[in-house]
Amino acid sequence: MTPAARTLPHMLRQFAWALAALALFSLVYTFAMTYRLQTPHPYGVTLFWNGHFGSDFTTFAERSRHFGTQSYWNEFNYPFTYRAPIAPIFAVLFSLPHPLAIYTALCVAGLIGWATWLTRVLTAAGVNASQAIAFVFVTLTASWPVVLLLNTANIEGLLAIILAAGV
Amino acid sequence: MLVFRPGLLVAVLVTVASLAILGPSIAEAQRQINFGLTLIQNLYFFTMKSDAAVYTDRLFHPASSVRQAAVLAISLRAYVLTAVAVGLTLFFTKIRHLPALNQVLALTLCAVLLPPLSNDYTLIHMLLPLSLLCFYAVEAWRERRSIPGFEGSFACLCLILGFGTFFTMQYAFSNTIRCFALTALLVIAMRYPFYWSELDSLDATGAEFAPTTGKVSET
Repeated sequence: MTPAARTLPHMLRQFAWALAALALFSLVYTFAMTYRLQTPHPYGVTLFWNGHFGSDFTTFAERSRHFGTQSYWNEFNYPFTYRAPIAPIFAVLFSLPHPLAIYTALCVAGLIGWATWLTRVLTAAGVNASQAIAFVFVTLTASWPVVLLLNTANIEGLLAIILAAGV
Repeated sequence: MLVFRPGLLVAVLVTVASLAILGPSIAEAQRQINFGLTLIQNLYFFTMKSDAAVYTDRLFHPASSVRQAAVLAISLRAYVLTAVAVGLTLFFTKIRHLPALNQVLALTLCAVLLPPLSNDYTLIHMLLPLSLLCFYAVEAWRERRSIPGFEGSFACLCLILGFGTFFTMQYAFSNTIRCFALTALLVIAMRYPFYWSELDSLDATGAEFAPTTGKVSET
C-alpha cells in the first residue's frame, strides 16, 4: 500500500468541505434573513422547525386506514398521489402501532447501512479509517436530500432502499 | 431489451395486483389513481402557484415559468412526449453502450431529471451513484490515474446534494441550479466513460481488464 492510499483522495476531501460550506452558508443565510431582516422563511433549512416533520407520510394516514374498502377513495385531506403499488405499502405501515416512528427508523437504518457500507469499502480500499468516517459523516449530515427525507418522511426513502438493494 | 423483460413483467404484475387489491375494480382503482395524479398536475402546473417551481428539480422546470394555462398544457404534453423519445433514444443509442458506472449514473439522473414533476426528495437516489464514484475515485487515486470528467462530476454532485437555501433573492432558485447541475452531470456521464474493473469486463481499449492488486472488494 502506498502512502497516498492512506489519505482520502483530494477530490473527496474537497467535496466534503464544499458540502459542509453549503450547509453552513445556508444556516447563516436563514438565520440572517429570518431573525435579523425579518423576511419570510426561505425554502430549505427552516423546514426543520416549521412543523413539517413527517408531513409527506402522515398525510396518507386517514386514507390508509380505509384500505380495502370503498371509502378509501373518499376525499380526505389530500388525494392519493402515487402509483398503485405504493398504496399497500402505506396500508401495511399504517396498520403498525407507531407508523411514523417505524418508517423514520427504517429510513435511519437504511442511511446507517449506507454509511457503514461506504465506510467499510473506503477503508478496505486503503483509506484511513478516521478520514473515511469523517467523510461519510459530513456527506450524510450536510446532504440536503437526507435532511429533507428525515424531515418529511417521504415514501421515496423506502423506494431508495429497495432500489439500492437491487443495484 | 431482453434484460428488461423480467423488470417490466414484475412492474405490470405488481401494478395490476395492487389495483385489484385497492378495488372496487382494476379499472375504477386506476381511474382514482389518475384522478389524484391529475390533481397534482393541476396543483403544480396549472394553478399558477407562485412557489410551485421552487420544489422541483425536473427538466420541465424552466418551461413552467410560463403563466398561461393553455400554453402550459400544450408544453407539458409536448415535454412528456419529448422526454419519452429522448430517454429511449439516449438509452438505446448511447447509455447501454457505456461502462456500468456511467450507466448507473445516467439512468439515475434520467429518473430524477426527465419526469415532468420530480421534487427534491427524489435526489436521495443520487447517494448510490455518489458511493460508486467515491470507490472509483479511491482506486484512481491509489493508481495515480487522472480521470477526465471526474472533477466536473463531483462539482455537479456538490450542487445537487448540498444545501442551497442561500440561493434565494426574492425567488428561491436553488432548484434551478440543481436542474442545471443534474443536466451537466448527465452530459458528463455520457461523454466520459468511467471504465472500472470492478463493474466492467473490458477496458477502454476493448481488452479484458488485467488482474489488479488491492481491488475494491466489497462493491
